[in-house]
Amino acid sequence: MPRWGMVIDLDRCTACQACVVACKAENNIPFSSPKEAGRRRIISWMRVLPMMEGEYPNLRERFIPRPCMHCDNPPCVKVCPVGATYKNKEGLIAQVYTQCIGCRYCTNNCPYTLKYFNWFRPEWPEEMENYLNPDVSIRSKGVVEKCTFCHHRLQKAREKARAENRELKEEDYIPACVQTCPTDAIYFGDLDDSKSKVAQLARSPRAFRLLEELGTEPKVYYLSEGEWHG
Amino acid sequence: MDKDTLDEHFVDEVAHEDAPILKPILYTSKRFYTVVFILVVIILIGVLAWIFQLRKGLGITGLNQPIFWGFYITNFVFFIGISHAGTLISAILRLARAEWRRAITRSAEVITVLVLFFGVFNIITDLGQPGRMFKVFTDGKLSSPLLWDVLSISLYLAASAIYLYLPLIPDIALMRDKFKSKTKRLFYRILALNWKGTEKQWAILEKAISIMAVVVIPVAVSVHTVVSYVFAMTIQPMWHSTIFGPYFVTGAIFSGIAALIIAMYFIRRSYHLEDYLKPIHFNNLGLLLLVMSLLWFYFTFTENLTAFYGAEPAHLTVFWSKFIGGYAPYFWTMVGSCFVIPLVILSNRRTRTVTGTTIASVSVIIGMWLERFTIVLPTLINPRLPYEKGMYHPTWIEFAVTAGCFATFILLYVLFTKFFPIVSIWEVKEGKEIGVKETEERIKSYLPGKEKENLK
Amino acid sequence: MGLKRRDFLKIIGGSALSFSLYDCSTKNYLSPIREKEWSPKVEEWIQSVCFACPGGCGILGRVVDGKLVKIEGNPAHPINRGKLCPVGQASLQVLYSPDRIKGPMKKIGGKDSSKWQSISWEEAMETLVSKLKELRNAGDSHKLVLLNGGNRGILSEIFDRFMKVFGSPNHFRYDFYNSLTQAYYLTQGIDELLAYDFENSNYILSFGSSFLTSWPSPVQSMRAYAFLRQGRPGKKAKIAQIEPRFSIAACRADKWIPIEPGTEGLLALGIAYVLIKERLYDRNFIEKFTFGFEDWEDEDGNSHYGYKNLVSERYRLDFVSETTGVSVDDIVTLAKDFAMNKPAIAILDHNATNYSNGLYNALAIHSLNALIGSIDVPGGVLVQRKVPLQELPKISVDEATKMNLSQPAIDSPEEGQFPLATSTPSLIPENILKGKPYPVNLAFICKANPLFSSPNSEKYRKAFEKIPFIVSFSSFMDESTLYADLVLPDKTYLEKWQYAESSPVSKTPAIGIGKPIVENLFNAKPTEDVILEAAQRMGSSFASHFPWKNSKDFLLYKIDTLFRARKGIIFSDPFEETQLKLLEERGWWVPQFTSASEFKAELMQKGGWWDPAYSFGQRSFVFRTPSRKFEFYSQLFVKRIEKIAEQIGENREDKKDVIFNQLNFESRGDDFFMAHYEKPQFEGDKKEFPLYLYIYQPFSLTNEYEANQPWFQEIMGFHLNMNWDSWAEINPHTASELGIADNDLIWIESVHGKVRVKAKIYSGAMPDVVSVPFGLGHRALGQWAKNRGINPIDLIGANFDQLTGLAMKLSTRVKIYRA
Ligand SMILES: Nc1nc2c(c(=O)[nH]1)N[C@H]1C(S)=C(S)[C@@H](COP(=O)(O)OP(=O)(O)OC[C@H]3O[C@@H](n4cnc5c(=O)[nH]c(N)nc54)[C@H](O)[C@@H]3O)O[C@H]1N2
Ligand SMILES: Nc1nc2c(c(=O)[nH]1)N[C@H]1C(S)=C(S)[C@@H](COP(=O)(O)OP(=O)(O)OC[C@H]3O[C@@H](n4cnc5c(=O)[nH]c(N)nc54)[C@H](O)[C@@H]3O)O[C@H]1N2
Ligand code: SF4
Ligand code: SF4
Ligand code: SF4
Ligand code: SF4
Ligand code: SF4
Ligand SMILES: [Mo]
Repeated sequence: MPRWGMVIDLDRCTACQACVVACKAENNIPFSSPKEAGRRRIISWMRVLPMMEGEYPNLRERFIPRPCMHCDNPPCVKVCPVGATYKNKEGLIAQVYTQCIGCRYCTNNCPYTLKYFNWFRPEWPEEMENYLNPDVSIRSKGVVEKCTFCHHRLQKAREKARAENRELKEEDYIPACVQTCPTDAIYFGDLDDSKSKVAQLARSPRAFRLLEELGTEPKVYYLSEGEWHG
Repeated sequence: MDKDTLDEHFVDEVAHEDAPILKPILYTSKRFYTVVFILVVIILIGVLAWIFQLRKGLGITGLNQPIFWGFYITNFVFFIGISHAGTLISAILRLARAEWRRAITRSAEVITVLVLFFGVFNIITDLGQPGRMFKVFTDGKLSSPLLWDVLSISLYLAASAIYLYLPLIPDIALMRDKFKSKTKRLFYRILALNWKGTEKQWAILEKAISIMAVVVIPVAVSVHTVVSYVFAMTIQPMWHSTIFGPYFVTGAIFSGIAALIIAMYFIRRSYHLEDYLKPIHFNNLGLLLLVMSLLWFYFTFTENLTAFYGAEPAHLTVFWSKFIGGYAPYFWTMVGSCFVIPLVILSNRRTRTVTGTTIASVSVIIGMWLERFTIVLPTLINPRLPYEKGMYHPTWIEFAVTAGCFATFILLYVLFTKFFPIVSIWEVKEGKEIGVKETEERIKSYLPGKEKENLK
Repeated sequence: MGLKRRDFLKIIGGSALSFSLYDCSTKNYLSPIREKEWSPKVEEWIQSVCFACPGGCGILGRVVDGKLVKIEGNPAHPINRGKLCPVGQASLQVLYSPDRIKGPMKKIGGKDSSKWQSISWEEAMETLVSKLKELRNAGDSHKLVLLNGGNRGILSEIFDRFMKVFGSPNHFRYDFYNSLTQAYYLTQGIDELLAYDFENSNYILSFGSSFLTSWPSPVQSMRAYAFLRQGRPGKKAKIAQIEPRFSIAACRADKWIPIEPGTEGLLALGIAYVLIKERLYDRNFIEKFTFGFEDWEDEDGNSHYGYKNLVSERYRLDFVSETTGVSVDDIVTLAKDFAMNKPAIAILDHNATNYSNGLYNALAIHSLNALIGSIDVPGGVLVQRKVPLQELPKISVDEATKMNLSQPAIDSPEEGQFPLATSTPSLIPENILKGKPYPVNLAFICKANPLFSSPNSEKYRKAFEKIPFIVSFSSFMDESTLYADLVLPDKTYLEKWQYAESSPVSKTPAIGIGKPIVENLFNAKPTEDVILEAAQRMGSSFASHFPWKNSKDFLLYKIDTLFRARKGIIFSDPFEETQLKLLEERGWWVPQFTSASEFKAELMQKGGWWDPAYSFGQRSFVFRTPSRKFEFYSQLFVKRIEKIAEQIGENREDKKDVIFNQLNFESRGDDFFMAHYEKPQFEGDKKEFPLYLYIYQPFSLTNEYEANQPWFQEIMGFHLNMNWDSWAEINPHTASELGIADNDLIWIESVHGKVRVKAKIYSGAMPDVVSVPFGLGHRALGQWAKNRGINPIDLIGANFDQLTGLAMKLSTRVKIYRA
């Protein structure tokens, strides 16, 4: 089984947020209203976090795009009382919307604050319903959601490979954010395949992971030059 | 209480000596209706708010990202804490054979059973998908501390219900036998479970009560330990703490005693049970409250000192937000009302009066709610990664639902007193009849001197 | 009690029954979209081009059952290679915006009314054509004005031709890069943006250019950035960003150099000073390819000042350092890094030129490239070869039309005003109001929204009220369209036939072919087709100039020449590409197709054509000046001034002085025609208005539609946790001096007005600069944009660059205080 993971090169990323928008478009993420945004209820499975260090004029800023880390030792999964979030065979942290009771225990135990709750029933103006992705279900109100590593794309890729009677190749499965990133800052692939680009990059001296000290074993690696003060 | 009016209700005069206890069941004053009316209004507003929330979603509360938990979870922890009033206290006192307990155990046990519902209700209210809550039973995952909660609270509820019910049986039977009204008799007959008061039945009852008293204590301790685990098992700063179990249990008993004192105060005043609920009860409970207050302070101190001393940035942020930040007003009010005020009032015999202990208890109740609040919120407001700071401004929905909970609780409590004697008739009687003698002997048994001499 | 209790028990028992009263039945949990139960039948990928910015990226639309559900980049397109910026990604929210105009409408109840009536396309066309005929028959065809925000592609060409055949000189396009292109024209004789060979560069000295955000081709420049930072093993290029704000580009650079606004050119001169003093310039290049470096003598024997002496005498580092606020050390380091890390380039965009001295800033900065010989070399400044598209047939119109065509345009400045202006659209509203040089009878607006975007929008509004009939070709009811009498809804670029050439900043010419991805959405028509149809209805001699049935037909006509061009290739796989490129660069070109029809079919299918080869060393192509060299001293400039002087009718001797005297510049001699420093002029007294207003475009607001796209409202201020509202960035020290805290509401006041906005404390703001994002503050456009945030343009006046006549957005001083 491949162990899907991501490597994000912060030295390439220009904080353009194409990944953010691509994810919203791909995954039928409802948009907020000014009022709801003011209450910090924007759902965005991918977010770019600005981290500024230093004082004027000696500033240094890193932009950290953050999907779900798909932790190998996921604190969010442990606490779910009904198994609505679980680690699947390929190590993806899955979220079953129809199973979720909306207790938001998992959201509180994600140290990266990367799970989102549907405070209301998601709605789109009628015209905009046209652009919704038929491969991705629409969440009901009161359930938790998060980045799935575009799991539906994996399913489609697998179906396609099966139809073509061949093995699934690493490059068949590309999440939406990875596909659009103008700087190719995001790499995606099998961390267990030592020949894969992600596995190589994850071993690079520039590599680190967010809040590594918590032992969550994130499968999203970052590359950055210089010292890291996370 | 003149004899004729009583005779309208009772077949014979046996009840006369217990008349003050039975009076609330027989007579209902205008004031009572006013109170009920006010409570019902508050409840209706609460229900309205709740329906509103069910329809629209949790979005109409002040919860947000990352403040996923707020009032409801605070209420949950708070109510479950209060539930330790009854069963735990009464069971301990019973096992310790504290004779002064006899008049207060029932009022304590009722608090437990009722308040548990509100704990559970607040959890359900907090669910995004309350309709799916049965999944906890069908698909429960034991790895989740929330499931431990479900199990231990269910167990606790069952145990405390039984524990409340068992000592009620003889009193119910009493009313079944004495009432004239047919419908009332039917009502009590069903509940009395064919209680005849035979020797054998008494023996079984006493046995059952003492078994339940033993059972209920570890269950109660587990309940609040497990509630604390909901927080302690996460890796969130200042939740992930080893002393949360005992800390929460202490807090629970602390707030439970306070709730009991307040309940007793109102029962005593409204139903003129001054002869039953005496200053000594308040004094004794007040002393217990004082002890708990000291214990509570000890835990609070330890908990915060370790966070401060460890100086882990994530913990420190939470720490400072409690000490000097946005949550400082709540935190310091809590310290004041959980520690300073009770300490001042209760450590002085002259202020440890009925009114004094009640004031201290009200203060503790407020403080303990704030304690839950300052445990839940500051951690969520300050997640580990910077730039994600949150804020929480509850809306009228949360206030209304919370007020509704309190009002319903009070209403149910009041209604209980209208159907059942709030002071255990038989236990008090038993105290008079055998308790005195027994106690005398027991005391002698541990007085200094030779065993035989004492027994003489 | 019993009832209540039973209820609770039920809940605890897990019965959902008691909830069915409310919104908890399963049915209600499913959104209506899900209830419809999609069973996707037809899924197809339709290839097209993104037209949201000048980048022209190739896109693939994922269409399921006729609905566009996702846009991805086209991997075969050489500009973006399968990548898209957020704007391209978010186009779905333009296409399916509920605020789109759903069909043609006419205004009823007069100018001031806001009542509209839906009409048929037939009636709309009838009205349009009758208005045109009316004007033409009266011999007033020049009184038609077209405000066209787009300046490329099919629409622009058709409009251009239409106006010419109709007989109106009043086709206005907005070109905000004008100061830049003027600088390139004066030094190299090239009238458009130059290309930068980022990929091969080792050092980028950026003067405020936002090359990672709102550049003409953002995906391309972002890709270049990533490549030269982490894509070339062992050869990481250095970047220095010089600008008053810690922008994205500054964040991602090695060094950020804050600079006093408007002194960018002076810093460039300071760097030149170091290069000259330390003899770090490229002597070989200077000798062979430049003019005016050393002192020189003209034909008449007059001696002239050279750039070298000008710089070394005037721009001593202490002076430069003091005025720019950049330390001497930093200037020396910048200069040395620039000269020692060749190939290096000095880049700029209109941010450094948005001042009264803008053109001189641009000249000073671009001259640095000449100093180190970074022109027409790998890793330097290049000039794009154009896509060889077919020219349109010659126009032959009658005398009356010709007469009208040669009338002065409605944007004409006073004689001698703005000597370098090609067009001064900022003057349009004033001239319309004055009826100068003649009144306007009919106006077309397309892709432009001056009532929102123009500093003199109030004047524009009055002017619009004065124009008897206005036709707006718009997809949205924006501020300007509100004043139209007839609205002909345009299709969006996702629904049109079109072609997109790569922007001139790309070194390689490329053209992407766009097909309609979605059809039959709303009762809108491509404006291209509307104009072609109007032309047909204008009578046979008019129609004969437009032999194309529709925009697709036009497109096929334009690309007809590509087959015969004997260069370039159709988009193909990278391997084939490399082979063909190598061959072509060695002078071999292999035709891939035998017939034109085969070629065209393949072109339409693969999505475009490009020419990957770049041929260096074609001097007359790169330097089109009189000297065929890079001119430090611009002879084209001299000529222009002489020409104007002749028009004014002065005698030869004092011709320059007359013009000089009109300008508020210090220089009078040779330096006037060379890069030098002029003090930037700011509006507002320094004492009363101590801060500079600095307006910038976040990536999420560069496009006019973005303010009405909820996705962008959510992400635009991510660096400060701001969304759905405007903000002002203030330096922490400045803020604490003024008693302003984060998130306070403040007033920003200039001589022109004041706006109230949320203060954000930002270490990336210079102490004397307040930065405000552009793009919000709409009063129309759509439900999400309307009345949201503030429009900083309300704070600035119609200030013009004195040479080019361009409106400037960075020339205002303000004060701020708590609201
Ligand atoms: N507030 C504010 N003012 C600005 C700027 C800013 O960012 N903010 N930027 C300044 C700059 S740099 C410039 S270049 C000018 C630009 O100024 P304008 O050229 O006036 O551009 P916009 O204001 O973007 O308005 C363009 C209008 O064209 C319409 N439109 C867009 N695409 C199409 C299309 O394909 N077909 C048709 N028919 N209509 C279309 C939209 O409805 C939009 O309202 O504004 C300047 N002023
Ligand atoms: N996707 C997309 N891209 C576009 C467009 C579009 O519609 N869509 N429009 C294009 C058009 S018309 C335009 S005009 C451009 C606008 O794009 P830009 O020319 O990039 O305009 P801004 O983003 O406003 O530029 C602001 C930059 O200038 C710097 N700056 C601000 N004040 C000063 C100063 O005083 N001195 C110096 N040196 N620097 C300063 C700021 O730090 C900031 O980085 O975008 C173009 N790109
Ligand atoms: S798309 Fe790529 S460059 Fe843009 S923000 Fe995301 S990771 Fe960074
Ligand atoms: S990042 Fe958060 S949500 Fe994702 S797997 Fe880890 S703990 Fe769970
Ligand atoms: S919110 Fe849903 S996924 Fe998260 S813990 Fe609760 S039931 Fe599980
Ligand atoms: S992997 Fe897919 S779901 Fe996750 S952030 Fe990227 S686009 Fe969104
Ligand atoms: S860079 Fe321009 S053309 Fe390319 S995707 Fe972005 S907006 Fe579209
Ligand atoms: Mo522009």
